[in-house]
Amino acid sequence: MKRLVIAAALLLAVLGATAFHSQYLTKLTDGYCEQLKQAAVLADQDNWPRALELTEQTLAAWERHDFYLHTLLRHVDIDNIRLTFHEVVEYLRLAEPDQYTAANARLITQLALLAEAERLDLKNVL
Amino acid sequence: MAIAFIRTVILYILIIAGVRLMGKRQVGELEPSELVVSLLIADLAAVPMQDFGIPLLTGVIPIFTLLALTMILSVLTMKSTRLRVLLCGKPSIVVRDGKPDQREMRRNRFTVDELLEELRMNGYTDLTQIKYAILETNGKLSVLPYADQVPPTSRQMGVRTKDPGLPRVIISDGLLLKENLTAAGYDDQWLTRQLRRHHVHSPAHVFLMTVDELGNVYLVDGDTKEAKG
Repeated sequence: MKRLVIAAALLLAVLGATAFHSQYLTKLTDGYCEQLKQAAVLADQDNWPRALELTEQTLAAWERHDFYLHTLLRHVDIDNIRLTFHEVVEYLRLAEPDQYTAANARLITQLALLAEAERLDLKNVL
Repeated sequence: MAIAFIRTVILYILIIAGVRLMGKRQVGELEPSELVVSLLIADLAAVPMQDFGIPLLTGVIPIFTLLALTMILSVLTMKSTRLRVLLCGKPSIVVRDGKPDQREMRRNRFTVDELLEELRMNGYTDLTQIKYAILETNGKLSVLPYADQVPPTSRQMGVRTKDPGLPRVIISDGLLLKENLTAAGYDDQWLTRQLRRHHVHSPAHVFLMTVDELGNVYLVDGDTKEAKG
């Protein structure tokens, strides 16, 4: 009976931890996407310094979660997002509206897809 | 990660069902759930080991899930006969009173050649010697011959025999195992006497030496020349 309880507890703990990870990642990426969208609005208003500041803050927040992201997600996905982040920052520094808009949209999509791939739904399970 | 967990549970159940459908002959010496775990764990462990781009947890979570599921199933099968039959199957009598049960053999996809091979491996060449042959859930065949085909035991023949007990290894490949020598109740002097008796000068020249509970010594010297005393 003790073995059964331990095994069931382990299963529940794994399920709980993975479900929490899925929720947390969605919340995290939703927050980043929101900030990146705000930066895009600022860039549209020609407020490039503020847009750059906001994007750099988002990048810093992303990098603070580097350990968590690398231990739970495919490294190639994380590296691609980081690469796009730096690309967006550079376009902001150069104040290149077209290039920035395209790169920022790509970054937002990459972040959304990252969370979507971890979401516990039938589409992903199958 | 949650996807990995759910997928592991689904695939585990599916593979167990697949192994059960394959029948007893494919299982070997493991129960279906044990076979599935041994098939999957090696593969799960190998992927993050080779691909550094995949987090270690991608392998660890399914492995923990499988181990927990196996533990749950093993406890539940101990408690429930129905579940045990469902997961492990039940033994099938494939030979009854010297005659193969064709229906049961077909059900287990057990061919005549396989039956005869298993019987030969058990030391029987003639089906008429067999009262029952039972295909166990682990895929092994248990053979129960007719009473008149069983070699008589010393008790049945009224012969008194002494039980020599478990032989202890005293020297293994030239190495003296002092603990075993003491545990067997002997000392260095006894060992020297035994070696001299077998014309060996030192334990280093002995390949194997054992002594049983009756004091019978078995000794093979380093030149693989055998001696018994």
